[in-house]
Amino acid sequence: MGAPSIPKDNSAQIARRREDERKANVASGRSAIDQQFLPFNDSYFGNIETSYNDFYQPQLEDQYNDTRRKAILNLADSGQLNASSGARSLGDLAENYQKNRVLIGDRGISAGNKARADVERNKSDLYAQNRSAADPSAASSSALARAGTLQAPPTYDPLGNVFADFISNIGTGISAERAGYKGLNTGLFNNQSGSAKVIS
Amino acid sequence: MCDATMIAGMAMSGLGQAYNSKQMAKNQKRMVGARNDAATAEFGRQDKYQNEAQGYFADSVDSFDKSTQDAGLEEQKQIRTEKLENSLAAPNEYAPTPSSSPSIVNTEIARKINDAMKSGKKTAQGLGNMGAWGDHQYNNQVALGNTDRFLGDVTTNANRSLGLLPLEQQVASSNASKSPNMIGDLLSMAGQGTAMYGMTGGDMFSGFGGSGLKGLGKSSGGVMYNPMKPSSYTKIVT
Repeated sequence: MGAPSIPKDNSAQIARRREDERKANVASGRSAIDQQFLPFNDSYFGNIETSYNDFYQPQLEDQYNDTRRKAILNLADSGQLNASSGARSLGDLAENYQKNRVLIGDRGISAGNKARADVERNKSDLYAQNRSAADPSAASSSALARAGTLQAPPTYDPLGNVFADFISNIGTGISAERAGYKGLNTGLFNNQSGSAKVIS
Repeated sequence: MCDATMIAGMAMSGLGQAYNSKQMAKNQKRMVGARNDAATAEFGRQDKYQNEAQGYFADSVDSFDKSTQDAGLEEQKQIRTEKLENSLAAPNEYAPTPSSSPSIVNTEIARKINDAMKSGKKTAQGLGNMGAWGDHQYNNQVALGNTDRFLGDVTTNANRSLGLLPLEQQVASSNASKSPNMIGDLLSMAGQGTAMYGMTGGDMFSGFGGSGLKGLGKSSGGVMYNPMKPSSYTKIVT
């Protein structure tokens, strides 16, 4: 007569299997998230930079052309267009224009970087959720929802008047210099230095 | 009262107890061994997790090697500067001067065009170099964030695995335990019975011609002694 057989306790084995399944679910969820975020690559963020430039550079160009036209009229009106001083003034405007083009390009890169940071942050949030939930299907649907939000177009403010000071000053500056004041300090009028001024 | 029967009974009882003790010790050894095996298996898993985490950490630290960081910064400088230089507009005619303009004016025009382009390029390089630092640091942050995430996963897995150890040890120990067989108990009981038989004057060895256990359990009176039933005892008349 033998002792009655006691059934084997499988609870630890079950717990271990469940833990392995959880790990597999986390890995699967991570893959789902990575898959959803594949479109957010260098090309995507490069397009944001391009979009930013496409929006702001033409505005700057329009302002530049407008300012240049007014400056030419002012210079012609003051008789300085066909002179070195006029060339210098317009050259300064062109230099200002180029610098502003670079600044807009820089902000375009920043816009791309901001988008990249937003995407990374959302991705991190989803990874954390995935770890908590350990449910790949839930993680995937959440990733889809966030991906939809990220693809919404960004809002742009219009460009301010970049050359406002230049156009208001150029005419009066040249005129003042011709009249003997410092003006734009082009040196064209061979004025005597000093504060004395003989008014005829 | 027979000393030989009593001694034999006590010996049998002692043997039974010794057998039981040995079985219990063997059982304890199996249970402890199973607990140790479970712990060893878990420590093996923990070692793997530790190696994995150390790998992520080593990669992260290596990425901050000065030459690697310098190369990364230089790359960002080139990328950003190139983008900014591409923002510059192509030089064009900017002053509608008549053909009769003096050469000094035309020279000034050419010089200012050149200056504007140079200045724009210089601005692009300056901004590129300055902004590259931020880009590079951002890339570092992203890389550190990824490493944090990997380490977080490893830590979670390691903690959860370690959390299963007490249960695994308990179950392994329980499963390794075997119910003691009844040999020791039977031997002990038989020994006690024999000893009592001897104490009451029974002689297990008489009438068998020294043949020992032949006819064991039967008194010379032909009645078997039942310890649970004292009335079954028949006094042997010698």
